[in-house]
Amino acid sequence: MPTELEELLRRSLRTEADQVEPASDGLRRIRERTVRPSRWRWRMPALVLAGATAVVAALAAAPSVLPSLTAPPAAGTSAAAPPSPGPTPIPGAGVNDMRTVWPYATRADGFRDAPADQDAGTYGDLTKPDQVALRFVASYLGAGSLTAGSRGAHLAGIRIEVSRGGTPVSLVYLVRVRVGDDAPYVVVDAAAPDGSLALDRIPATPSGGPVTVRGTLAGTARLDVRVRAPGSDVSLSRAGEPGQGGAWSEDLTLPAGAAAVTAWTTGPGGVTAFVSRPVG
Amino acid sequence: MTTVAAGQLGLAAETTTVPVLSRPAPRLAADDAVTALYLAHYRGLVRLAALLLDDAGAAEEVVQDAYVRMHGSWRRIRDPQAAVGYLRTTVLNLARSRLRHQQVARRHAPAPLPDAPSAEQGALDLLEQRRVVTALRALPERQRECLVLRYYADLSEAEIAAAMGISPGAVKSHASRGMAALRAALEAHRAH
Repeated sequence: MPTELEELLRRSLRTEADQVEPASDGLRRIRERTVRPSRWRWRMPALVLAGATAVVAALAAAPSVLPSLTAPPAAGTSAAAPPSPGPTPIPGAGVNDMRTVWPYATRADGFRDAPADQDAGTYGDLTKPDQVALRFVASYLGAGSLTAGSRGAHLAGIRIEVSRGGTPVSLVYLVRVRVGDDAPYVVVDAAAPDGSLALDRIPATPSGGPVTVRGTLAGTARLDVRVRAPGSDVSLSRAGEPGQGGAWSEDLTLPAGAAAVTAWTTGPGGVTAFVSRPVG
Repeated sequence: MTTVAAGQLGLAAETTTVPVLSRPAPRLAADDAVTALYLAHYRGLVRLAALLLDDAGAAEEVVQDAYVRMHGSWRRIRDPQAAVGYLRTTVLNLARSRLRHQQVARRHAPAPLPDAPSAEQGALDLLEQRRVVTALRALPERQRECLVLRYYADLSEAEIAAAMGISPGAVKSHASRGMAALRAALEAHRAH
């Protein structure tokens, strides 16, 4: 006969456990880490595929999967964006291609170019994700007082918290360019740890052109926005005081081949949030 | 007295939803096994890990890690039934490791706010349950794991022993000490 305490313990554990509802994309996250695209594509049970195919295609192709960057797009943004292509395997890499923000515009570019860059030390040691994350943020903010903090698994890659002067300013997400423990890392995107700043998806403009970059911002910090294209690193816009927070937008002319849009906020004590997102 | 059927709780309940796992024979490919085991056990394992970790996000990461490892070890596991035990043991080990890191971080975290008083009986019940879970999380690692596996996952002593890699006698000992410590902690709280 169970004792009163045993029954109380059962109820307590049940109540506590019932509050936990796993995200619906757990299988996709696991699948991305055990990737064998051709087999999975055909062997996934119909019940999983039925509701998820469109989502998987869109999410695997663009790092909009990152939860802190999924603020609802402003009106008109989604309709203007072209549909995302499905995941494309990188031949010989054992992983799918995807847009990235640093140091290459795509994972496939990284697969192709990273070995030579690694040998030359162009971007430091690309096999050390902490160093890659720090170099990436430092390429915008300067290296002063940047530190890499906690890391955790995230989808097919990892997440590293980067702090400036001891304050967490960004969660940098990285993936390997191929399978293997010695594979170089590339930065997929970066999000604000506290969600105070976010970028909406930026539609692809292969030949460059005008685009409105939108996002959300909490508070009244100063906002800087910068666009990168291969071979160039140009600050195209510096927004002034964005007002009382909430939605913000900047009209930019993207250079041809623009790869990433990055934004950060600065308060009285320095940089408070740093986010980055690939174009397309 | 409240009776909770074994099938209502996490792991056991979901096992019945995927018939292929209850048959001894055909060998599954690793990818298929991950899918089937995901559908049958993922949620229960995440909840189990969350009870041990007090962090739903970390619990999901731990369970996903366990599935990835199982996928990599599938040739050695052979028996789909054994895969459930493999997953459970891996989740325990990974949660244990994760918890040690969390505990280091929590030493520097501010103390939680005191419980808010409430005149509602339902709220009082929840408050009491919350105290139980808080007290449970303060128990030594092995005692906590034994109690969660016994009273949440409804595992037998033999199953708990297999999952934790200890003897059934040690399970009995940890569970007994854990319950005694839990009772003492709750009585001490009521006395204040």
